Amino acid sequence: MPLRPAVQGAMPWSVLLLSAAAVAGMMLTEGPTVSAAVLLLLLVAGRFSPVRVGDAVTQSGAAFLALVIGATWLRGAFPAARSDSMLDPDRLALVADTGLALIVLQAWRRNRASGSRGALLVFITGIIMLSASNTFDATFAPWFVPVYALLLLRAVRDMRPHDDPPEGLPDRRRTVVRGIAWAAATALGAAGSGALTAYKEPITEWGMRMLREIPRTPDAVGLSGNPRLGPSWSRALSLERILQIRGATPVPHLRGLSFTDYERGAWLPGIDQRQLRPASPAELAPPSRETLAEAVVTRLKPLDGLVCAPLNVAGLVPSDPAAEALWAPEMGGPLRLGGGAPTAYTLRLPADERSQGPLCVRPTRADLARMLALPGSLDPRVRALALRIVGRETRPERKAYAVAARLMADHAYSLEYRPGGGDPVSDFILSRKPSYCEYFASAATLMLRCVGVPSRYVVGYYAHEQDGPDSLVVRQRDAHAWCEAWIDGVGWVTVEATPASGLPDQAAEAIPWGMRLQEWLQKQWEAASVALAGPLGIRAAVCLGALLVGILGAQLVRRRRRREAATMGRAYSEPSPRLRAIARRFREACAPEVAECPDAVPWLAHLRESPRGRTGEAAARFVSLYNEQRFGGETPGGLADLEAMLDQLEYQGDA
Amino acid sequence: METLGTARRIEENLATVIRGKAGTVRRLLVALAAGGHVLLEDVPGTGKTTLAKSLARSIDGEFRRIQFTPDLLPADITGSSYYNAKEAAFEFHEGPVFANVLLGDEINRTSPRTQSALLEVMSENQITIDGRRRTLPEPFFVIATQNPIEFHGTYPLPEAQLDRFTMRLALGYPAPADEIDILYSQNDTHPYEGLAAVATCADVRALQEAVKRVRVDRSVAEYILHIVDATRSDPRLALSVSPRGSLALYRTAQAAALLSSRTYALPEDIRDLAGPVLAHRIMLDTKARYAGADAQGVIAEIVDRTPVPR
Repeated sequence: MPLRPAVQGAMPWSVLLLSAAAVAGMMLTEGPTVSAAVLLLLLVAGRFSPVRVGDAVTQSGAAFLALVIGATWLRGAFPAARSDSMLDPDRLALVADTGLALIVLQAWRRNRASGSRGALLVFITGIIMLSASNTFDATFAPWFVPVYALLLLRAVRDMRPHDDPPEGLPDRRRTVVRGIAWAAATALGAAGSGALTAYKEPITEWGMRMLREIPRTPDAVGLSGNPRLGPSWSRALSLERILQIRGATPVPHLRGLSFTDYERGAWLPGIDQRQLRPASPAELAPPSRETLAEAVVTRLKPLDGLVCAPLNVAGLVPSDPAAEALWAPEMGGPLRLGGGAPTAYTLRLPADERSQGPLCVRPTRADLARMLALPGSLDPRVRALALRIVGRETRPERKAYAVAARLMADHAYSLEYRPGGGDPVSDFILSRKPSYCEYFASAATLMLRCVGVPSRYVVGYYAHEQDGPDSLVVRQRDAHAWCEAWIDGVGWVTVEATPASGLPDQAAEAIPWGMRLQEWLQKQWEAASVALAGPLGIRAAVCLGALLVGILGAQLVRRRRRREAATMGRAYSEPSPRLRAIARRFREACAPEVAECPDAVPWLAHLRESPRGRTGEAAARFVSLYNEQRFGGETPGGLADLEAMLDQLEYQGDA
Repeated sequence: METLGTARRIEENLATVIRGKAGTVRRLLVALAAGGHVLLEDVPGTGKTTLAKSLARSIDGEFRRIQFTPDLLPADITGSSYYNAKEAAFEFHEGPVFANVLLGDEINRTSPRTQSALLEVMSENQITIDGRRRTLPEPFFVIATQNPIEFHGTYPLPEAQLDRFTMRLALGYPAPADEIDILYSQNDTHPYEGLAAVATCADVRALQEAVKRVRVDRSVAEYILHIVDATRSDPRLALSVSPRGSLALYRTAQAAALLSSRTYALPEDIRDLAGPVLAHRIMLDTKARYAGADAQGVIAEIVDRTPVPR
């Protein structure tokens, strides 16, 4: 007598091994995780446990999982994509974890319709392997990928519906052929994975070209925390979007970092040497300040948390009140706002651009001394030149104007600079070479100090690119440097010394339409992420998620009842619950045989018209006995016989 | 079961005479077991008379035949009273209906009045003549025939009258192999000549009683009603199945189950019998007829789209 299995609808061993191989590959590259280990155990346990959950539970669980993962993803909990992989590995790992959870749900599901479930399982294991192979790890790929390929072939074979019952012991010839097939597949897999590893750069490049019109060049985005004058513009002209500004158009200069000390081409102190303290909402947005308008800035890249805002902003309000704001106002910055990217904050803009806001802290005497200090490396001729430029002018603002105008007149703009010896700024000023904004800003700062105007060097972004009727977009190529000067009686003012031809609005090239379309899609995504990041958004997402799960659950239950009604003839008088359960088990055990049976054709007639080998004959015998109980009157002995026959059927189906 | 044995013997006996028509013979027996009557719609020379005679002989019953003609009177069917001068009294001479198996050939050739007389007898199983009720023998089984292709000088049975026949069957031409058997089997004598009785009228009555004890689950009865109800809501039908038709399907399903050695009816029985039992009870409207639909097709379509109970 054959052994009675304890499980109905268990996942075939080949699919189990396939899933395990994919997950093992993921754990090898991403590192072992508790969740993956627990899910693997659950996967294996599903093979032996008799417990099964219905479709409604499985599908609701899958929908809920997808909602939670989607919400987490939207909250931007992951860093930006690394440039050496086609897809974000962290996001892929998350998808892989989700896929593993879905496989576990399938393993515990009652449904025996192995066709559709099989295709789904193969697809999910493929996603997991993609995640695992994402880095093309040379150690892992050549060994694991062929194993996965072999198990995949086996699993696909096992998941096909069988017309004939499984044969007995294979003959020797079949074993030899199988062995050759395995060896050939292993060799092919190793060769394939070796080729992928050897040519990963061209493949990645090809993929990146497909995703973007302009090939993405490996460069960094953001502002340098330790700027140093060099032979060329330190940031490549990347089109990466940094900021999105909606609302009233602010002044174009959005300051990020300011520096007071200069030493042989380097501006100090570095960002890591700043002492930041928490900024209260009252400090960031003083209530007494009158505002003309507001603009909402969305920071699309982390930028190390830096907030870019105009010098004269009247107030700054983070969208997320819980976000931590740090600043060092006495040093002129930086202002840091936590929350990763995308992060939004509101700028309150005054009518008068000379208005002194929370970022315009009056310098102390010590600060003034620092901002008037000249570096020892500065050529004395620079001071003489500065004095000549300003002449007899005494008003600081006129001095600033004169210095800036002279620098613009004497120097052309160029992204390249050929430094001479000595101090870079002195060399730039005295040699009248063309250069870029960092040099102009540095020169203006030091020359103003020479004529007694306290000033500092500032890096930030120059906002100029319209992106809709009431919107601006700031890209990495719009990074800029300028000077800020302290004018007694006025306060802090921006001093722009870069020639107009060198300003980002003049140097910008048109954005290709393909990239604009991609950015538009990205903006919708970011808007949703920002909205969901707030507390209201989270609550709304949770409520919506719960509502969707509820609706989905109700739909599943209704669909199941309708299906039962159609298949069980619910429009007809029902048999006893025990017989109904037997009928349900039969449908699951012999899903391939009865799945194609039309509603208007009795099972027995269908099985006799389209016999399916041994299983079909047993199913026909079962149905005959079932009909006797269903239409001839139920008896306890008859129902017990039916259940015994059903066990046999289920065993035959599993074998 | 003894009654099942009766049916088997009759069936096997008939098979020796009627070659290759096991399905039709089985359905005929179903109608007999259900206590109904059969309308055989067939071309001449297919064995209708032989079948009726063989059936009568198989059950050791009396066989009578009526050849319907336009001048046939109702009294020619039921019988009439004659004055016996010698006895000085009226004597009743039984008509052909006083038989166990009555073959009414070409029922559509007689006047509607005569048709009604027969149909009335079929439904009541008794005759009242001259104020006296006379019961027909039991079992009383009528096989009426119609020629489906010749309509000159005929009086087609109205659909309301057709409703009284439990089934409408057709023998049809035999298959070539069977026809060869027929040729050789009748070389010397007709197989009918050697036919012997294998049951009695009492056995048939017992069979008919046993049919009534076959279980019809409520779901199967509901299945019958679903089919019948579908005919009542079908826009192509000017006349749909009556409750008499539902009852006929019910009873024939019981009979079919018993003849299949079952004590319960199955949806399969309903599906198999829906066409023969219901097709002649419906009438297509003009539009459907001109569209090429036919009654058998409509019934088959309804059966194919009505879910079965499981």
